[in-house]
Amino acid sequence: MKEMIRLSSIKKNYGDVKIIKDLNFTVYEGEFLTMLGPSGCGKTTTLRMIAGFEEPTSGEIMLNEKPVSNLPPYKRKINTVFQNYALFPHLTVAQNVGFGLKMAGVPKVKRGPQVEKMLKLVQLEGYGNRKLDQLSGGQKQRIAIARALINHPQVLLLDEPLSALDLKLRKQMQLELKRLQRKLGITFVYVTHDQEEALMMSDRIAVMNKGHLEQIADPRTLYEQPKTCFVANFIGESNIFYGKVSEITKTDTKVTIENGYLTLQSDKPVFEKQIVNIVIRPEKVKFSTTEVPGFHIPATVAEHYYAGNVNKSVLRLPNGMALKMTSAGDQKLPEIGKSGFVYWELADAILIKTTSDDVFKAVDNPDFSMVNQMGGD
Amino acid sequence: MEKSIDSENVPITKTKSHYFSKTLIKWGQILPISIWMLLLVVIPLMYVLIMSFMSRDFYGGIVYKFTLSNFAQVFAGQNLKIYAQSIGIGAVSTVVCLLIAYPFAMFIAQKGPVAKTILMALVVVPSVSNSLVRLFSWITLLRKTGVVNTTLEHLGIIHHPLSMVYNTGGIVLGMVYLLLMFMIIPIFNSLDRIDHNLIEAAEDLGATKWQILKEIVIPLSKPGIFAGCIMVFIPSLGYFFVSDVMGGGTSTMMGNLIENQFQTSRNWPLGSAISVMLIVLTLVLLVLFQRRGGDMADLGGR
Ligand SMILES: Nc1ncnc2c1ncn2[C@@H]1O[C@H](COP(=O)(O)OP(=O)(O)OP(=O)(O)O)[C@@H](O)[C@H]1O
Ligand SMILES: [Mg+2]
Repeated sequence: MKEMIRLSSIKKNYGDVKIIKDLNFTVYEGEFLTMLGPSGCGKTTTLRMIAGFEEPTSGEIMLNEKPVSNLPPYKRKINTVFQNYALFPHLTVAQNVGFGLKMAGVPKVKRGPQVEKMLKLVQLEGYGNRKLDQLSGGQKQRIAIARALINHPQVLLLDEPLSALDLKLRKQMQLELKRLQRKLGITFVYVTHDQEEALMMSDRIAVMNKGHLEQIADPRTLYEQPKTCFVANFIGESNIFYGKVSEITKTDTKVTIENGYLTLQSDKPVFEKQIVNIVIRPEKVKFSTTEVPGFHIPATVAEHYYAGNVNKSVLRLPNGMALKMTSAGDQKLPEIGKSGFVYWELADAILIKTTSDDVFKAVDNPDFSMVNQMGGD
Repeated sequence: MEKSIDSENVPITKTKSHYFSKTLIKWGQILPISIWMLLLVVIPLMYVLIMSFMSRDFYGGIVYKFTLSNFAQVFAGQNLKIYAQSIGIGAVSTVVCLLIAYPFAMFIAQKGPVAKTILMALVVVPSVSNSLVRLFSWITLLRKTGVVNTTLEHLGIIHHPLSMVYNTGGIVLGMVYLLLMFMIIPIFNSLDRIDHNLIEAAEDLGATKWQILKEIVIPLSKPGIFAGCIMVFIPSLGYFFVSDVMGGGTSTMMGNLIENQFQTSRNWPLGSAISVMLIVLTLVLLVLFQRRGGDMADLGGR
């Protein structure tokens, strides 16, 4: 795979505030890469540095393996689709789409057919003479995309392009953007804070948090093998336990947690007394009235929510932690108030070695509910 | 059944009384201003309008008899020349104001929020002092024996004093000086309102600085430019004291003509008729402004 963009050791400060702290990742040619992260984590800032609107405080951005730090935005073969469309309100649809050509000095007669071709691409043929206020939000978004594509960029940057649209239109545009990207084979760098959108559209996702990269991987890997608690929480729902490796035998690795213990697969690379986090997805959690060998996690059934194809349940642990469990919609549920034990298949547990700072916080503050709150949103 | 009728009726009466109280509040707010406007604007204007159709006796007294002859006199030959001159001076002043104000407003609009407020305040501050006083200080500076001429003569740069005031140029200078802020404010407002993303979008699409100015900034600030031109041009027709002070009586402007009718000539009906024409011209310009998509709030200077 050919390398398209590489960020190496990118740092960005605004005054004394460190917004981006040592960002490193590579985007490959033809890839749909999404930057995902909570509000304020620096996604827009990163995108603006790639586009050339901001300069990194330190570090180097490479485009086609050549540094671009001294190139102004228009000299990079990169175009941007802005979050609020940023269409020129005094121009018609065709004038907006053809703007890039006009700036490049393409004569009017030659612009017409190209503009029409772009409009066709975004399924807005014949809209050229319209004024912008005669367009819906979705149509404006398509115009913004057509305008950004007309100069045939190698990379298209999209900053939350769908966030202003209502849910139904957003779903439709997600599919359409994906179709467009496949058809054109252009590299897309896409920003969103909607994890579902990211999972659905992306080849790879770069999960960002507070100005650094948590993990970059394809959607399945992110979901199945999150490297940090943050990723486990941000992508899908999680239950997170923390505890200490208390005993390693040939067949078992036992982890002591507050009010109980659990067992890890024996091949996990841990050492005794190591502090670890164990992530278990709600759909993998099982409940039994009798104790299962290897586990001792007492719990009481607290709530059930019916959600169509699945049932969502909350199990209360002795320390107050609310454990999420989902089960198939047709499955019989234990009664509320019933006491029993929680367990899971050994292979379903995800081990997170405690290096990220959010875990240290949890260790300093032995309150299980805090860890669980992180999974709340 | 009854219940449902009831529950339907209740909200209706509620909205009605709600509507009523809302209307009351609205009128309560508007009424004092309306009376004020009636006394200070509408009645005087009506008076001028009626006056413009009245006749005049030999001694300048007003005879309440309907006539159109005032309007015929408005367009008499010697007056047309004055209008042409006023419109010419007004137009030149407007263009000069525009050329100075635009770069200036652009400069301010690019500053941070604090600097913007301070700079805009500085633009407005001089207007709190009396405009006649300010005009006379220009005279002190620029007349033949004024500060500038004497200094230049002392330095040996010139040998004969330059005529910088008491001519048409002096009038334009005075107009520009007094009216410049009315050009800066609406242009600044329209520039300040331009979404910075648009500039970046244009830059992203390959526009140079000059192309951004030509294709994005100037078109988007057009409402401000129109508003500023109207706010400079119209008062420039009426500011008779500028030509009195700075022109030294060399040229008569529309404002002077009106002033004369009310004072020396004692021809109030003719003065009123000219005023009415000026008001009509203003209204025409305002209508044109709104037709071109201008926002009336811009003229208020916010
Ligand atoms: N020009 C600036 N000056 C100072 N601070 C800034 C500037 N631009 C952004 N920031 C700060 O940098 C941080 C990251 O901003 P950024 O816009 O990159 O976040 P984001 O991940 O895009 O968030 P969102 O999802 O809300 O768009 C924020 O805390 C923001 O307040
Ligand atoms: Mg953002």
